[in-house]
Amino acid sequence: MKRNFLLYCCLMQILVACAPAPSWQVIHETEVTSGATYQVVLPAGWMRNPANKEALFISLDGPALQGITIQEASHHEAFKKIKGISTPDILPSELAELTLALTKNEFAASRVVLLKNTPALVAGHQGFRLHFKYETSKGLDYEGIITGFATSEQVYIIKYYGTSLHYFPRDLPVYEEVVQSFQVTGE
Amino acid sequence: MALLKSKTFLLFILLALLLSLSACTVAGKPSIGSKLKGGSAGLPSQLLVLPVTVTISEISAGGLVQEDPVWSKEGEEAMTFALREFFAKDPSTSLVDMPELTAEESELVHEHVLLYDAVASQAFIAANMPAVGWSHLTNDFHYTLGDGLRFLKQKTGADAALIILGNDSISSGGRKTMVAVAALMGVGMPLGSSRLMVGVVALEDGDILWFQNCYAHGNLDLRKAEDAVVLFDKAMEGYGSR
Amino acid sequence: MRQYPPLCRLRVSLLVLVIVLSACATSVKPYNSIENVQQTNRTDVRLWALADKFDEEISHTDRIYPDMELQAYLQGIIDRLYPDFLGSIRIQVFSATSLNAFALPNGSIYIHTALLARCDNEAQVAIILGHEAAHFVDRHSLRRVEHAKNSTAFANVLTLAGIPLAGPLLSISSMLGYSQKTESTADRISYERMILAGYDTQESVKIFRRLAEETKNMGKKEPFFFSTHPRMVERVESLNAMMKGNPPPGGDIGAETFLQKTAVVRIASMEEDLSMNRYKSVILLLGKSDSPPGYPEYFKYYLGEAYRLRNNAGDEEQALQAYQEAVVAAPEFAPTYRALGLYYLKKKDHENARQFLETYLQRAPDAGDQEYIRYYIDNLEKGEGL
Repeated sequence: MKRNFLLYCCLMQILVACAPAPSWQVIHETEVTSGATYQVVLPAGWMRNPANKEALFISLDGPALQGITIQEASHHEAFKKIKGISTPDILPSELAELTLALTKNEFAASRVVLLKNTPALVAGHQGFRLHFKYETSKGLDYEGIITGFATSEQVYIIKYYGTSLHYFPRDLPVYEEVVQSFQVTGE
Repeated sequence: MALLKSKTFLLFILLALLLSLSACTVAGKPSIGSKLKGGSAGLPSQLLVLPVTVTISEISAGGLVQEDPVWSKEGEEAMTFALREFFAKDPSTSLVDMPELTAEESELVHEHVLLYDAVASQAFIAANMPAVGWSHLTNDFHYTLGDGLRFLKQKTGADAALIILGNDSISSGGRKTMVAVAALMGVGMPLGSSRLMVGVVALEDGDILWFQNCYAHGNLDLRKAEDAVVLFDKAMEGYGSR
Repeated sequence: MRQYPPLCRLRVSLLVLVIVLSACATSVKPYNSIENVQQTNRTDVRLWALADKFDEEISHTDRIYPDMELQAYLQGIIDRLYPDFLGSIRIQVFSATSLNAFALPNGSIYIHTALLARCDNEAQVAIILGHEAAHFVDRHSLRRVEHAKNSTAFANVLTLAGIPLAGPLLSISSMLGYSQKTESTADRISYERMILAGYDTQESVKIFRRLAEETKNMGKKEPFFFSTHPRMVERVESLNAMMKGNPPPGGDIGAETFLQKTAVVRIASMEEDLSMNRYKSVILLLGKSDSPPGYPEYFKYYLGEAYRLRNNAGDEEQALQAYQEAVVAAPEFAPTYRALGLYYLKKKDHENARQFLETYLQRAPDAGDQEYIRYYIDNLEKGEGL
């Protein structure tokens, strides 16, 4: 009985390990989706990657060309990777500073260059908007925008990136609509 | 009979068969842009040849891969020869050479070729890997580089650009010996591989009209014109039968 | 896998070994002078071409620190160390926050802005530049590639011969040993060149000690002259041993000129560190002295910023004190007023907050963050605070 049980456990492990990663899913019509503490409208025709557990990630043509990411995190967790500390009374400029630092660390090899850093009203909260550029090791140029804000409980970050040529400027209006639709639930 | 039953002899035969296979694996089917779905009317009659990029490296006996810029240059010349040979047989298409460009224009062209690399890789996944989930895009193939290369149409009168990106890894003598000995021991080691990405991009709006990826394992040398012709012809299979 | 008789395996292995190693046998001689700087085999040609390609590509990015005067000054140091190689060793400053410098097989040397900012004088940077130039002169790139080809080939042979463990272990240990030896050789060459050029070699030990301390305090494994280099402590010991055997006669330190030429890059490096939340290195640099050499009067502002970002217990007070000292030492430096304004804003001291933020905008009307500051001031005027 014990041996059978162990055998079944091993088989389950193998089956789970062999299971294919969930594939991208089409957003068939404009979809209102929810995170733990937020709600946002996603654009029809874009694709969502369910495999990404840390954030909601969507793309229209593929992650090498453009993408929108939505993340929520507690103040304690938001900037842990760079040993940064966010607090409920963090200023928008300080939140922008930490977000930029995190981005620079994540893209260390690509040399992030800040183009603009301004305050922004997001979901009724005073936040920030960063506009930056970077290039891959092959030399392909990308641009990115990060909009973010904090409540007393959480930090919310909405990112957009695309190739500087064509994709970033083309899909920027879609990103702006996503940001406009963002709401914190339970407020 | 004893010889035929000898394991060593059988291994030699297997090795010989493997080494003699010169199949070029066409990875997936050509992805034909939506403009071409209407037939030959969408095909460009004047094709601007962008600078061919071929990277050739040597694999040493121990597996160390080193790019050789001199070989890469030879590969680019061989591939340029191959593409001219191909289109020489097609009376409906004439090739246009790159005009003189300013430094900014050259940089812009280079950036678009890099973009093509990213777009084509993404489009390849969409067209050939249904499990990933992007295959619906093949029903409406709209991948594009944008209209940033329109100035080339104005400058040359060409309808579309031909973009060729290739790479090849060539085994050193020591590596080939190692592979042969390993095969005798029953251990498989890669000899090298050749890869070619070919794309035809409309200059007016950057739409990808045609693209194809092609691979060959171990037995082509893209420094040689005849091998470049083999790979290019394989990559362009189906272009004529639009 | 089928096991072949040991004698058969050994014969095959030996045969392959002879073929492979004879094909790979090389002898790499260092360059004696500029006259024999040339590419001697196909691997060398490849390495030079790749290095030339890197130089070309990097020149089109914004990674080269744009200070031609600084570059010319550093080139002068290289030329003083290697007068017999004038024109073949070229130095450039590379914008990067990691503590590193590297040499390419074509004679190009790049030193990171962060590493340059850690040096206090010309003699200290001379040991670093001399070390990197030694890699070029002694042709270490070519030796490393040839050796790698041989090592890994030999490792494969042993694996094929049925000795699976020895192959990988051998290739790893020989690679590590070779790198340590190579770096020690470069240190020795650089040390000897410093003596000939008239530099004070004691400074070489000081900079290595400083870098070792920073490694230890930052908790990094081996962040500079990187991963395959011998540990910095061992290098300090070997430099000390060299000095015992070859007592240095004193020599030039070149502090004043060096600090003047590198003043801007020091600040830029520190600002980049802070922008990446690397407050630790700033505290290490500035926290120990009331007047660290080569830093402007307002250096306490940066120290305050580092404490603010670290935000440990007591850091708020330390940051405030640092800002206040910066205002006294350099009242014309605008960012300190912003820092104080934001400090008081968070403390809900609206009067002080408004006063300092307005002073900041008066002194820096074109500040990049003025939109944030105006937003804060507007809220304060409305009595809303944060």
